[in-house]
Amino acid sequence: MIFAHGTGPGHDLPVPLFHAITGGALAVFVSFLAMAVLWPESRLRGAAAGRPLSVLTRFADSAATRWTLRLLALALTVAVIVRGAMLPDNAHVNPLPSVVYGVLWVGLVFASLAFGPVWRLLNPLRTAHTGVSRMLGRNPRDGMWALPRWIGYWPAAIGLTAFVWMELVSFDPDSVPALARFFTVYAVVHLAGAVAFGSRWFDRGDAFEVLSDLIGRLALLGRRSDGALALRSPLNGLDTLRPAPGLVVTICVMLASTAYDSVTALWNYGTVRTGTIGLLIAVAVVIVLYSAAAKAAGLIGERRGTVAAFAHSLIPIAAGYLVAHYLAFLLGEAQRATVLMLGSDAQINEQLLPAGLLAVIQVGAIITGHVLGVIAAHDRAVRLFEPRVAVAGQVPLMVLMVVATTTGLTLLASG
Amino acid sequence: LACVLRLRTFAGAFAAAGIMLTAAAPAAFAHPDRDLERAGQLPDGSGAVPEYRSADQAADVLLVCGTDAADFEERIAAFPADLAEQNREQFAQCQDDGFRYIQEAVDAVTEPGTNIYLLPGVYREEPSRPEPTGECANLDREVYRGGHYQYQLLEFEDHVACPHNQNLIAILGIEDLQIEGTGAEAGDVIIDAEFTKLNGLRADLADGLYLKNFTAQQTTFNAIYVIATDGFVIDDVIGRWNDEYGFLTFAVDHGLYTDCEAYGNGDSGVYPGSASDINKDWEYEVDRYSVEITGCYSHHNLLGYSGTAGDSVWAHDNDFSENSVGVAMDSLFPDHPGLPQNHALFENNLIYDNNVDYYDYVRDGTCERPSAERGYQDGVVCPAIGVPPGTGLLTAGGNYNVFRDNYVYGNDYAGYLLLHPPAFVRSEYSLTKQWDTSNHNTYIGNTFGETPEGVSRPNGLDVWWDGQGTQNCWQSDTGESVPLRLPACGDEPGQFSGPQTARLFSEPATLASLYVCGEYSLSGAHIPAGCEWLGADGIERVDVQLTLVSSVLVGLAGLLVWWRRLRHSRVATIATAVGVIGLIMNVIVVPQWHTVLPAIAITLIGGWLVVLGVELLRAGHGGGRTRGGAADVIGAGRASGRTRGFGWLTIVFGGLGLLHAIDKAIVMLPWIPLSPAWFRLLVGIVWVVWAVVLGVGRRSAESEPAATAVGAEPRPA
Repeated sequence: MIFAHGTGPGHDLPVPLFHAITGGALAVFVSFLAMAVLWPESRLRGAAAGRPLSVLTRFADSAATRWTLRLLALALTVAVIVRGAMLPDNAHVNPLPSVVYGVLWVGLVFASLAFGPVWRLLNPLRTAHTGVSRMLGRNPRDGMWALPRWIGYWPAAIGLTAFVWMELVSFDPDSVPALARFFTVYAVVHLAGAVAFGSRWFDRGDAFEVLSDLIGRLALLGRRSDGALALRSPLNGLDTLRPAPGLVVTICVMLASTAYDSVTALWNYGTVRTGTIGLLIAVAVVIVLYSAAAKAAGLIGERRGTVAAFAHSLIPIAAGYLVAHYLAFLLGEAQRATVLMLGSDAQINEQLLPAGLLAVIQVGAIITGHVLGVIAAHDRAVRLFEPRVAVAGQVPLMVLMVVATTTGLTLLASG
Repeated sequence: LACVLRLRTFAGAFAAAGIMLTAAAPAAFAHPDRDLERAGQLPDGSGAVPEYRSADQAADVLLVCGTDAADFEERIAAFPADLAEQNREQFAQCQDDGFRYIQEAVDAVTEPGTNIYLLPGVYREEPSRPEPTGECANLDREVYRGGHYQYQLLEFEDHVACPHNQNLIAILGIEDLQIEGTGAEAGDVIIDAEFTKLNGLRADLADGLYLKNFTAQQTTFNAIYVIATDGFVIDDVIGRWNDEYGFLTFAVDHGLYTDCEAYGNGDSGVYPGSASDINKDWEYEVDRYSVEITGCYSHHNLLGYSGTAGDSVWAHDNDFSENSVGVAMDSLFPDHPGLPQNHALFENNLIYDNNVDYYDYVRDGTCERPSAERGYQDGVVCPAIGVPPGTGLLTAGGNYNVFRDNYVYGNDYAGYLLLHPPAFVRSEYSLTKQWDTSNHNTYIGNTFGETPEGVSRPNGLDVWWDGQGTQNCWQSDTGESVPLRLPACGDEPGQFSGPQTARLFSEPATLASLYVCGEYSLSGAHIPAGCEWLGADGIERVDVQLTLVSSVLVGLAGLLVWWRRLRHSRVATIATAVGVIGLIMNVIVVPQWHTVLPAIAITLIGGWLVVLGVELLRAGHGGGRTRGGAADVIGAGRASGRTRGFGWLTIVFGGLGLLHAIDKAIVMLPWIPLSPAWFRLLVGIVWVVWAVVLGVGRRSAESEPAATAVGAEPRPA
């Protein structure tokens, strides 16, 4: 399979691996200590924060812009489907695998980091649903039933797990028929969901929209509560996330998938069955570890609901791992997708970034992710907990994050 | 094999808090070793060391020579008259019925007990040199890839079918063969591979082999390679200028190296690897040794001697000098029969001036060039592995080794160095095996820092030990050492004259140093920053960095506690000042680890913490009493309870420091499985967090009314 996402080996780093790993753990630990001393009260203001960008808002929100982008995305999707169907089932010739794994899955992470929840705008399923609804003279937001609250993020969690399973576990992830089957089922399920519950279904049901939305909260560009696009701190973006059923699991699947991929790069897991079990175990381990730490925080802080309340602090960590894990892959696959779509015979430069720079970005992403996680958790803790237990309450999460940084960097270096 | 410091992964596993221990190991343990070939069976030990045989005693005599009479005359011109005459006669006879190439003579051997005489000259063995063709070019065998090279792992049958895929001269399955140069000295007969082959001379299943009086040189692996052979002698042979070894004997028994010389080798001069593991079930007493090495002079190599699984080797009366490391033995690499290494006996050797730092040739790119262009003949050596230059004798994992009555002097880093690699470094993952090495090693009767003539030539340290392992001991008159206090041996191996230790791990900072040093890579021309052995000094040293970081954290946390809680206590203030001095000193004196200074610094820190703890308990007690207002009883009780807990933890933390100081400066504490440094580290992390929680908590408590108002209505998350 060509889609082995090799990460940068540790020795490309300009510092010894030991320093990268201990430095990372120390950065998290010291951030925690510094927060405790220097950040005694909550400072984040969520959707109220940010410097509004009125011109950009007007441009981005204009119907012309939005429909142009939507239709462009839809047209590209159709083009990929057509070209994918025409060409032989071979990832060296057929652009479909590169487009799916390189552009849709990984590219979406980076695009969302840069511009916010872009998939909400570009999602061809949403566009199709909206278009058909309008043609039928109906409001796309109206479904047959109201969306029950308990559904929450669960469809996205399931969709994400299924996609990650196909990418990392299934027998032949590059197989064009397999990809076609997956996305046919995916489209049918989500269009049906939208017909049943209206376009709000996509908000929390469509795995790619949710991925884009969650990661997009780290973008410097964000939507304020008054609707304006604004420049704001990723911490405020994170702060806007509200607990909902399935949210923790969705975020944990994001985290677990990269961990699983790194571990299986070291251990050949053998069969699809053991791989499936392994992936589920990875997800379960992440959920259990996080929940245990968050529950312990709640015990110390004497508050309920901490598992949901601190979930947002995992998002920068997951984003850090995704960046570290997939950056090199993205650069290669984006080129491949373009070349294969255009049918050009241009050479693909597999090493667009120098190995040293790539390694620095990878390690930097993981450490930055954890430090942001610590800060987000700290702000939430001083808001939720009484001052006398606010710092102590964060200790379990801090320990988890230090261990995760160390483990993550070790996995990165070993991959 | 002597690839001594590929310890990165085991330390990496520790760095990852053990979680990734098994996950990280396989990837990072790409094997850098080259003798994986048939790492199978050791001989059954039924053979014997062969006796030297004169031509009269030989079953058959074969001669090998060149054809250029003028060149020959020139070569023997300086010989003693009778030897020259004898050579002339042999040359004349050789022109009639002799061979032009050594391999031809070897191939012509028909019976055991044959002597092959090599007349003075340079044997390039041109017919052996062409690249393999036909089936030999397409053997379907596993390829081992090293940094600058790759080669196939071949079976004995492959060598029989394709003798020159890897070997200039192949001696396969021939018994009791003697090959002897007829020159006045070993340098008169030269087998020169000119880097076209891995091995100059390979003897495989060649029981009773006797090699004498010639030189083999310029291979990409070994000048002389004896494998799977029971009974051999290497007598007055020179092995020089090889990418790796002068002499490699692997999976052998009844071996004797005598009067050999080795120099200019990128790994080691002499390598009795996987010598037959005949004493594995014995303790200190043994019946015999499988390989004897005596009278050898191994100099100007990366290592004079190396022995991965160099089991039951008796090395005596040798000269290991002017290498980067004089002698190294280890248990680091998988697939060597007989691991972990055990029962080597080194006595009456000269191990001195092993200080040459060849890593400059890695740094300046010399070692990037093809082997032939590196300048081995001018003294260049390209280190195949990372080792600490300036070391006399290094043991990276071994048991029941005895080092006695050697002269060890003039080694700038350390005379003897002992460290522990857990078994997973050599790809053995069973938990019970992880501590199966670096135990029961005895160092007695050695003369440190003085030549046999009595001239003072001190070592940097006489001993550097990572502190790990069971019942390792040193003579009590050892000079400067790390750690400062070593467990003391009695007069004989197995006897002790003080408490014995059995530590599971070395101290954290030491472990970090080993880890960083293990990142050495020749192929990447990578010399790890931070490794003291490879040149890091002062703040570059990773142990200094770690001490600095921990001192800063403990200092800041301690100052926070003092400022928030105890700044009005004069005792606590004075103690804190002393503690800060101790913390600063603690960082500065890390390189003085062979003195009592680190222990003094740790004592100051420990004393400060104990006083701080006591003062906290007193303050907490007093605070509880004064605050006894009815409305505030629960809160006050809680607050002073937390302070009391922290006070006790502070006393424990400080007490562990005092214990650590005793362990360092007075006697290594027996019975405990870990150095007090580990307990200090673990308690210290909790202490720093608690100190900050408490330090911050006080201020919050002071602003309690406002805080409670916010806390009562937490915003929904």
